[in-house]
Amino acid sequence: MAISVQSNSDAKKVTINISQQFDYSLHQSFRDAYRNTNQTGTTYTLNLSQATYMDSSALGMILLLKEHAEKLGGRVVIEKPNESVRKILTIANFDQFVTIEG
Amino acid sequence: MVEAELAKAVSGDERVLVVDDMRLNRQILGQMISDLGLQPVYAETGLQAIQIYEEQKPSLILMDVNMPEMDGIEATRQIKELAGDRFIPIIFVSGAEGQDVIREAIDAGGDDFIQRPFPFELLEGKIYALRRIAQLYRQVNRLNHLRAREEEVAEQLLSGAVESANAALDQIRIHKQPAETFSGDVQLSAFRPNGELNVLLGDFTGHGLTSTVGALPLSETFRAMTAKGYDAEEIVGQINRKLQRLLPTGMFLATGIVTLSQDGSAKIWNGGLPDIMVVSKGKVVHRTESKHPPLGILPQLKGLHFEHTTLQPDDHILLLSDGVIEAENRAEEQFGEERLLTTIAKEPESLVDAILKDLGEFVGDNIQKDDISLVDIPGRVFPQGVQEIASSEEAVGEIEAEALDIWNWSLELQGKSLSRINPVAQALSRLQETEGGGDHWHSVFSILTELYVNALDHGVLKLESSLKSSPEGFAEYFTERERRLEGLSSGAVSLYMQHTRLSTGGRLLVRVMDSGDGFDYEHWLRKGGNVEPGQFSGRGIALVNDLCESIRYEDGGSTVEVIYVYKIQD
Repeated sequence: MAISVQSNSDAKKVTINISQQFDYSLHQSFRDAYRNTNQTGTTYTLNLSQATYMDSSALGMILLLKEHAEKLGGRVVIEKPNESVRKILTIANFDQFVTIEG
Repeated sequence: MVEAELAKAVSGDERVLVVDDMRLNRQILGQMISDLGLQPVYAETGLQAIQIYEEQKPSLILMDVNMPEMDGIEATRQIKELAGDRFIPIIFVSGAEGQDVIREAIDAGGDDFIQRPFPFELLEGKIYALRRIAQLYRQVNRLNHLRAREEEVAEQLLSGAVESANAALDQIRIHKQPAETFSGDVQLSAFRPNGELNVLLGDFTGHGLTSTVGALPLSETFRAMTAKGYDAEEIVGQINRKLQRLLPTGMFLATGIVTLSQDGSAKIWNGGLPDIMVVSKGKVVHRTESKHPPLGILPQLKGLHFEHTTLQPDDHILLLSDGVIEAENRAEEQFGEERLLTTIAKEPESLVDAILKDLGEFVGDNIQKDDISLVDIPGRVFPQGVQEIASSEEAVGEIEAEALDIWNWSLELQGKSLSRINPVAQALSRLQETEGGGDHWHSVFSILTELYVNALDHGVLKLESSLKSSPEGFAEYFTERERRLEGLSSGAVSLYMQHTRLSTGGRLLVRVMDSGDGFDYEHWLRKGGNVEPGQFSGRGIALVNDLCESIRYEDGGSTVEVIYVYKIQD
């Protein structure tokens, strides 16, 4: 499975792990990964350590996640992108409005 | 409508091919087919089945498994291949051959399997169900063709509206290679009234029809604002606001914009595109990296970072979409920047052609996943059919007598509003609204711009134009200008225009006052307003001097008044 989710509602944490290609084909399962989480103040961690590639529709999907998180007063943290994925994030200057760690 | 078609198809007199080497089996099945109101046709071997399928095009086939010459499995494989896009349902009818045969039959393309002995109702049900599916297939096929045709028409309309109005296509080279009928990439070019060229390359998220919805508002904003003389900063800001309002979350526009002056100085901005490169003799001499998020994401853009550089006439600016860098070959390797630089280093006659050739050889027959765009702007671009600017020799006093009407307009900007509002664009649209269009406004635009920029830069921001005496300083000047403009809290510039309509055209008096200390204009006038070639500063005022009837400084140089006269030809 290209997407897996760990959710800890006490700690208000949802971690979404992406493996292989992060692109349009994950659109539906990516949305399913967070749409039913609705606890206020949740931090959504998007773990990209296993993602090999990312395209611009994936950037759009991150914006949708950010919108969902911010509606709940929470936030999005992107974790451990590899070099090529980080390059895509850098070109789009996502670091200007999303936290990128690792 | 669908129901009615379905009923017609099922009750219609259509042929069903019965394939069996046993006469008795053929007779029983044929009778059942007739009882359903359909027309049986027969084949005794697999080979014959193929032949009759081709001749008679039945709408369904009942197929035996074991037959001489060619068995039902191979016949099914071949018929399915012949049918291509067309759905021809095949039901295997057989004795007790076991599970393996069922699997084989379905693998070969069979749609169902029925084992003897069976009740009539079972076969009847299967035939009805499969004919219903066949009907759906036909419908999907028809809709697909319709969609493809409509998309082609829509694409032509859209690219007509968006790209046919592009300027200078004889000088700049634009290549667009969509992954689908619709491209998510948009390329725009237009001249400002002062002859500067604005070029924009945009890449909407995704590709296909949905990624094209923003193309019309984008091109309209770009063209209208460029024509009115707004500069790139304001155009980028406005496009961002518009797209942010218009596009759904998750959709945005990676954008690069270039403003190129006729003297080769260029201003470049990049939000989300691969590096925009200035290429000189096979080398990349300047890169503008993406320093901003794509447009349509943030409600407000902060501190627009434009890079300034100067091009030699045979230099080129190259803009490209990520579809070029990320194009993959069969081994899933990306074309990448290194290969791109290798192509550039060959100093090809046409950058775009050379890149496309190398890219094509690299990708081979692999499927194109993303839109590919390339824009090549040469170091010098000129508006087509440049008009000789008509300047009047008549004395101002003589003209006064034949004045038809007079109006005036003024605007004063203070403090922060100076960094936000462009009074030149406002003044120019007032002139165009009141006095109609015409080439003379190009000159007026240059005059207003030079006077206003001088008042703002030197009067209010107190920048030294001597900074601009080297190419490095030139860029430094603009960085410093941006910094000071952002922190501006005091200072003022006022712009006053008086327009007099004449029977031959018009006379425009422009007075620009700034809150600064003025400058040593006498020294400048003594030099006769001459500018050395290669000198980076002083050009502006020399230009104003050339265009105007008269130029006059007051208040130690902090007020300037010029008179411009134009003629309207019949």
